[in-house]
Amino acid sequence: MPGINKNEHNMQTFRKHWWKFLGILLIIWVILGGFLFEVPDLPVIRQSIRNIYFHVGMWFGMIFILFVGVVFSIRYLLTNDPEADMKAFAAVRTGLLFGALGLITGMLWAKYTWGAFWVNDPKLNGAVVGMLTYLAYIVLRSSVEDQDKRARLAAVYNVFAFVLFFVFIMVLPRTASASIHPGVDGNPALATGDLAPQMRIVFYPAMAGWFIMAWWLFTILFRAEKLDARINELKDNQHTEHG
Amino acid sequence: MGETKILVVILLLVIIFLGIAVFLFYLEHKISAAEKKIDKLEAQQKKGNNQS
Repeated sequence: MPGINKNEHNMQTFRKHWWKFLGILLIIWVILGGFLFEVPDLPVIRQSIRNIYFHVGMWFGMIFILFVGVVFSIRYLLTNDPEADMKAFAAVRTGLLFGALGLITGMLWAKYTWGAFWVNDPKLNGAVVGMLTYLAYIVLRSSVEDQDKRARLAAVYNVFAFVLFFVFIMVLPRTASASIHPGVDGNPALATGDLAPQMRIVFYPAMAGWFIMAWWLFTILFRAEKLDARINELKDNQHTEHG
Repeated sequence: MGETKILVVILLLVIIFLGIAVFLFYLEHKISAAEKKIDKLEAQQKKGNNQS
């Protein structure tokens, strides 16, 4: 780079990407600590408790990024800024990926503790219905041609989907008579006494690590989406010039 | 024996995760390069529009 020496350039790169390196280090810490550190040996759950660093982390990462998506949808409705709509779309796609990972890790955990990959439980069913609500967001977007109309519809739907998602995973399971899934009376692993003290040195970094990874993926998807829009705009302008 | 198996699993997971992280950096690098190209094309188009 002209005018900038190599050290300065490296420093600039580090300043720009430090939080990504932090995320990578945190997840490596989670893998190491999650498999090697002591955990309480409880009946039924046994060593599978280690999955809490992955399953709960990914699921909270999903909720965090879906919340980010709602914030951008509301911003779009207030400002009509197309970038806000792109950010909301990127956040929902990231959220769906993290949700799918959360479901897979949850299914593996269920197999080892409850004996089946899926059990008929209000919390589990609520989670999958909530995910389907978000899949409908993607379908809705692809079914509307007009850009402004699509963005406005998607933004309204996204706010609606986020509220519905909470109803499916938080409210309805609590009104059901029984749920095998922990956390019906509160947030699993977050209440005092839910988590053994020695597990906290892995659990909290896991939360931070998965949040950072979700944010990183979100920024990449947004940039790719914006790039796509700019290419289309360039093409349109060229067509107008030549036409 | 059990300990060795766990170490192999950890190593595999770390390698897979690092692979994903490197891939994300690669994607970002590609996106940055494409953004620069688009910047240039947009500037050219603007210049062309102004001249005409």
